Amino acid sequence: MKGVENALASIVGSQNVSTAEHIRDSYSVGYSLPSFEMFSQWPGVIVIPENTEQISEILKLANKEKVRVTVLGANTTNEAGGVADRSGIGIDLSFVDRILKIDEDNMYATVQGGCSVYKLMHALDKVGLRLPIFPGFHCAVPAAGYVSTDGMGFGSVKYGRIHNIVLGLEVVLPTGEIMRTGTSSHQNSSGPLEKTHMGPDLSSLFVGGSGAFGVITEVEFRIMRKGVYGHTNYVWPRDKGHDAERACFEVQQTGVWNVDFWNPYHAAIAGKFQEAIAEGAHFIIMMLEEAQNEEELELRLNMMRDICERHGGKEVPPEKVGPHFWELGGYIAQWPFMPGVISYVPSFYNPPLTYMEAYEMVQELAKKNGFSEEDLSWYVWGIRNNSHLPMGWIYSDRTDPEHIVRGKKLMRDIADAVVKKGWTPHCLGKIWPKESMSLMGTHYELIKNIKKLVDPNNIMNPDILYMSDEGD
Amino acid sequence: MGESDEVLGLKRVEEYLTDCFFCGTCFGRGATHGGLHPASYDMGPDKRCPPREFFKFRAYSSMGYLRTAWSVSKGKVELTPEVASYFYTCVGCDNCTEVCKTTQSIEVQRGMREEIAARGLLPEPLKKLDQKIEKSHNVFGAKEKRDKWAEGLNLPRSGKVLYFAGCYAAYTHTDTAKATVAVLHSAGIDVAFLGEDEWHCGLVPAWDGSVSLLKEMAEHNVEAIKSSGAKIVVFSCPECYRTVRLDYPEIVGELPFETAHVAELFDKLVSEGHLKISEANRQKVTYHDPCHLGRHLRVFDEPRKVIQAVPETELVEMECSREWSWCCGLGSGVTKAVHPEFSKWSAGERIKEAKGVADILVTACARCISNLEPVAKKNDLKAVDLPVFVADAMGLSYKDAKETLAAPAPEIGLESILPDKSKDVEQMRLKMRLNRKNLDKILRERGLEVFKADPKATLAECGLAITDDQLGAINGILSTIKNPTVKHYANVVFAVINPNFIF
Repeated sequence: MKGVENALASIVGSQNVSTAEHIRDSYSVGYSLPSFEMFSQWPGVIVIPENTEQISEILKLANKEKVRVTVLGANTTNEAGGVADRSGIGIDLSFVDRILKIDEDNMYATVQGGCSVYKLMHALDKVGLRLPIFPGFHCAVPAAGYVSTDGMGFGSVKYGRIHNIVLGLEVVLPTGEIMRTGTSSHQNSSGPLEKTHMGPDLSSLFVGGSGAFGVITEVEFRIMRKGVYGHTNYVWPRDKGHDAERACFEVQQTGVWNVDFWNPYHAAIAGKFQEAIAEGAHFIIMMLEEAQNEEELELRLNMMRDICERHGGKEVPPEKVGPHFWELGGYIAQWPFMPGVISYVPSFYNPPLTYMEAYEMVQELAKKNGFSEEDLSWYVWGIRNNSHLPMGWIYSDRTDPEHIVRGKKLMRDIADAVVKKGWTPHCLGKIWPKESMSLMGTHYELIKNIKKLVDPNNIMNPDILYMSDEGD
Repeated sequence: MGESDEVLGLKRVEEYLTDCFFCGTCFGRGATHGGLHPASYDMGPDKRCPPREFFKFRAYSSMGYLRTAWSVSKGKVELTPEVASYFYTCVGCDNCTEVCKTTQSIEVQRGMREEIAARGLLPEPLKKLDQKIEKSHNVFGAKEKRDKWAEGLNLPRSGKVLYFAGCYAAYTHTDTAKATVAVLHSAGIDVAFLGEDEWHCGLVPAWDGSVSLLKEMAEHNVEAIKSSGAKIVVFSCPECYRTVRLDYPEIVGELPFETAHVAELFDKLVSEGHLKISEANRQKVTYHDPCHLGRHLRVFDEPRKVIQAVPETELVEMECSREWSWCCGLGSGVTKAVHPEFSKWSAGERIKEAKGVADILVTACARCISNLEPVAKKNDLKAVDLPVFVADAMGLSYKDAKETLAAPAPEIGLESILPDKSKDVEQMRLKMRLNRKNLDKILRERGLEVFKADPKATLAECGLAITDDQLGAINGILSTIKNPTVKHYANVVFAVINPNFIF
């Protein structure tokens, strides 16, 4: 590793390379990694490049030395996606983060891969624009990380996942070549418009690729003008979960901007709906809507109210909810009741009318592993195309070794059960069993062949595709 | 709790070591605050954490420091001299608390540094600094008399209003001290001072982890102030102000005197017509919020109002201002002592930003001035401490001791001096934070049972009064939380008392 360290220093400068214990340790953690301390391991060396050319040189070096490489964004997946290899190079993209262009005429923005989504949103906000979708609380996620996990977020019911807003990419392939994909790949193109490339959109290879096919160094995003926003909220008792589920499904069909489905233990963390919960509310649906003007907004909110009331929901007026959690600004970082020690249930997509099935399934597994219903803070984000992304947290006690053992088992059990049901993992990550890939049959075979083609030495995040033990 | 039972170091902050859940808000570069609401929200500037920007690695952020402290406590990372030195790269600016209300970043830093000092791993420059303070009672190790700046002023040693100059104003930035005395005199306030009995406030040991030295300084200064008969102590140095106001009570209990920064006092005097500033300033001015005065003590508006009281002054803001202010790099002097290059760089970044918008940088801290001034000069930017800026605008000959107090001062009552902090939102915010800290402390020391047995009495002890309805809501929320901890209790109490309050 010493030789690699020296070679890296010659590329980026010695101040941007470190093998110090405490530096490597800080890259061994992330949102999902504290989940009962699973998968946490120190990368061999951390390197901080400052431009695409340096990244290209780093990958050429890694190829020559056959050293594994993991790109580290903000480590905010829920499924242990960005775990650096113990003996490998961890690339921190934080300092490749410039906003290159905001084109208000053609409605696109180009940023470097390390630019946080929030940094871009801030810049867009200043000129009355925004991204169609954005991550809720994964505040620091860089553009490359958002793209490579095929992320979703606020606005996903209406505008879909990240692949719906990516127009083009610049990528450094594992061999060090720099390439462009999507609409910006055309050399004579006047810009990344809706479609200027020919043939298949190769951006898709990297969207959701979890860094296994290259380092995303530039992203061209579709952008839009801001509208006006408002919310309405409804609650149901514990035994009326299926009515709430049906209401949620119908709300989604209206093209609502965002919808959340909570249980009371999640509401407790957020410090919301306490009065309603005291009166017997258990399931909560929060609907956020956007419109061109206040009149349209009120019409659309009334449409949501009609649906919820038809399915027996009881409205909790906004004044009783207090500031909506998104109005608080810092979101999770400012949630007053956050216990600080939580572990994530791995996220997955399931069909629209299986909210309750997923909820009961996780409850049952939690119970089997010695957790109670109250331990599970549960929320579901609606998403376009009738799918959902259930997410949840388990209160974890990292000071109790027995608790950790049960917690790890629960996470594994949930991941296994999701895959067995044929539901889809949100993104690649070490929490998922190997079958999650192999069940995809010919799709997985083609992915492996492409991986061998673009990454002949299998250096980039190979474990994520379960290819590290194939002797490639 | 007796001295021998005092819990220090990592043990003291053990409960906070697992608070971080790695959301990335603190180490994310660029605006990461808020942003969920597509309508405009203050999402913070692109630059927030100085060590993260300079050293680049994620370890140099609130998350990184917390994680490393936890790893050290678990023996996963060895506390070597290199790791000890690393902890002093945090400037303690508290910018991270603006984006994260979940962790107790500053408390953990302080606990970690206590641990470092207790294990004998204090970096060499800090050992030397502590020795200077111990021997000479000032941060410079100066042998000259501390009261030299006041020669010819004939300031009394006792009086209702006491001016605590601090090491910098007393030794290297004496214009600040002289200007403060002159401005206050012209408004009708003649101050007393402690002379040689004024010791270093204890800022350096407070932030390097040398607890016993801080205690020695605090106990001495409080006794000296008490002997002076002061009802109110006025500071021109925010670092002294913070140390006395926030750290001293933890050592000596409730302070037997009021405290105020000159910015607060000047503002009150201007608004009540006691301070008249006549000379126009036609240059663009920007204000640098010292971390300890701004984020730590929530004084943001007052210095700005004072600057704007100078006729024809155009006050322009830097992007990193108010709660997003960028640290001058001094880091209570401990960061500068251990990492001088970084400290200089941070000052350079600040000056670059100021130069982009203004002709003069005004701040309200002689220590910030000391770090910013050399870089400012190179960049042809004037950097001035607030008392000097005001004295100049008033045309006061503060440098000349004979003239400074020549004109008789109009008499004003003590009520015009004591700042009314009860209505200021930021001050209420600070009070809430302190009350919360008290509650944390009581619950930690006496257990949750004390709250369960008599919640109203427990809260009253922290200066909090609650209604039966609020108590019902608190118990209701707590009943939904599995195995609530001290942190849950404190958070729930404060969220119920003011549900919209972000502390």
